[in-house]
Amino acid sequence: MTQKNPTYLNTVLKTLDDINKDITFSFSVPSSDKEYSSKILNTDQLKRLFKSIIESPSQTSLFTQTFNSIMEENILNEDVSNFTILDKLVYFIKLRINSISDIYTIDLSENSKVVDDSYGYDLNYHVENVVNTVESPQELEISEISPYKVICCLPNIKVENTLENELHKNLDVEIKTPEELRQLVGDTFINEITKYVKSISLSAENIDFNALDFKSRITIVSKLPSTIINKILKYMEAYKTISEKITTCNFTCYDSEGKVVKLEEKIPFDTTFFNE
Amino acid sequence: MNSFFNVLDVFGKEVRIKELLLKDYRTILKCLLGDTPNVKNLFENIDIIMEKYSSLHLYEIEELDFIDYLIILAKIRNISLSGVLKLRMDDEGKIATLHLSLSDVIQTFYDIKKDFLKSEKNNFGKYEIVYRLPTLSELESCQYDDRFELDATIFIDKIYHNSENICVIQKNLPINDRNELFNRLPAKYSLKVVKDIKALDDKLKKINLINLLNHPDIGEKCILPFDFNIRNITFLIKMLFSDDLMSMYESFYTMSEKMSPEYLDNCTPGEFGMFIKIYESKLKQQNSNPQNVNNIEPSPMNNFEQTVENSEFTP
Repeated sequence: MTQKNPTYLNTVLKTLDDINKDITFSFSVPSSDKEYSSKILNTDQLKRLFKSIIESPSQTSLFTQTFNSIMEENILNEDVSNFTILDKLVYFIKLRINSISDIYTIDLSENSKVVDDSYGYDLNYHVENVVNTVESPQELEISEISPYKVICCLPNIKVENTLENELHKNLDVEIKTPEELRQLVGDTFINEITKYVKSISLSAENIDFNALDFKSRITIVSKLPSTIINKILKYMEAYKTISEKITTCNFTCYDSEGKVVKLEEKIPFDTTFFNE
Repeated sequence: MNSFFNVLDVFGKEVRIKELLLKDYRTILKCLLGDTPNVKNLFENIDIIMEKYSSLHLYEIEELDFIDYLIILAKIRNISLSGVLKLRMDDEGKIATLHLSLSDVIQTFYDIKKDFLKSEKNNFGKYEIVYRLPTLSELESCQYDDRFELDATIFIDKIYHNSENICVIQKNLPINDRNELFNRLPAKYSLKVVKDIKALDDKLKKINLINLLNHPDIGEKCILPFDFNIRNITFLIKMLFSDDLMSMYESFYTMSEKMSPEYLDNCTPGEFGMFIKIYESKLKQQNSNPQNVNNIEPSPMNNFEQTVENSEFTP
């Protein structure tokens, strides 16, 4: 027999919300010296993360949207839209540590070099010795080709959300022809580059990309000379190197003869990282 | 006729049960008709029948966890029909009949719950979580929730927050409310709950009731699973009550020419089987007498699966 009691439900929900408000952790991000405070993941948020991997064939897009909304819900007294993608990556690891566990179990069952089936990687050690040592790339000004002056920076949450809302919402993920595949790869490439452009100045005219919708930004970036595009790609490459460093776990195990084996595994920047 | 009762101890609760009457046994067989019986229909009817044949009220039956429910139902079957489950196995065209001891099956149910009870209380941070086994209606409405494959809340008796002194989840709340409350729990605790339930599910899935025969060859060939899947539980009940309904009608029709249908309806399946046995032996006697050679009648037991053997007969 079940009892319907909305008052009881609302009272307990409110109590749980109050309890959850107090379970927080503090963290810092590369783009700022400030200390932030965040709530830990609740069950609903974890379910949403798992759903984002199951429901979406273009899972990166849905994961991005879900994780960004969780950041907005959990980070207290702060507008997260200015957090960069590097800040997000750092927060991603710290949220995992505080919400699930500071030990990340790496599956080694298919690694024939070592005897162990798994390795418990210490994420606190990783944060201390790897994550906290990285510095955020500074803004880059590309002005070698007159009259262009392009300012590059790491995309922030606002840029990501704009891209997701405008472009990925109606994305047709079913690729039927090679032509459609070529189109998708081309679009993804130009979308990625556009995310890193903050503004473009042409002589006296300054175009602030934040004031434009994403389609307009893409139209402008598509017209940039390839030399500038290459410079933007190099800037993106610098970020990639940093993010690779943050997501790489280096550790040692033993082989069947008791010799030390050095191993390297990647932290997946997706929902699977939130498995215990 | 049906005043004889048995006393059962179902995990500390004393339950009295009686033998089924033929009319209600027939209702169970009707509900089990077909390859995929209607689950809701089946359990609603069995609930009403169990209320009639046990000391439990309908609301108590509806609140039984699925193991207790199966123990009581299997015991009613045991005293009403026999202690042996006859299973027909088709081994590459050869039909073999296996005899599975019902008391071994019931003991397996007891063992599963005893094992479960060892870890029913858990402390996760400031939360005390008490597990329980779900009811059949909860299993029927079980939501498969992506990574949370089994609806965890149906396995939760209560969640208590120690420092706030508040019971967060109670089993008597509607499932939607329980889910809403469960969704607010810290993810690390709900992951642990799901992990515990998954471990129990995996443990159950490893159980093959056929292995109770202690016959390695058959155990490899034939699987009689036991898990949280309501369809598999229904299949198990179908095996508890496996008589052929049509044959039973035929037998009933034949016997009602000799005895009052009302009387037959109110006898137990065991008694009914015994009357058939007596009738058959009389027929045999008649047939062996050359003077009665023209009076041969077909045996009513030809297709009635539930043969009554001396060793397993419970009047």
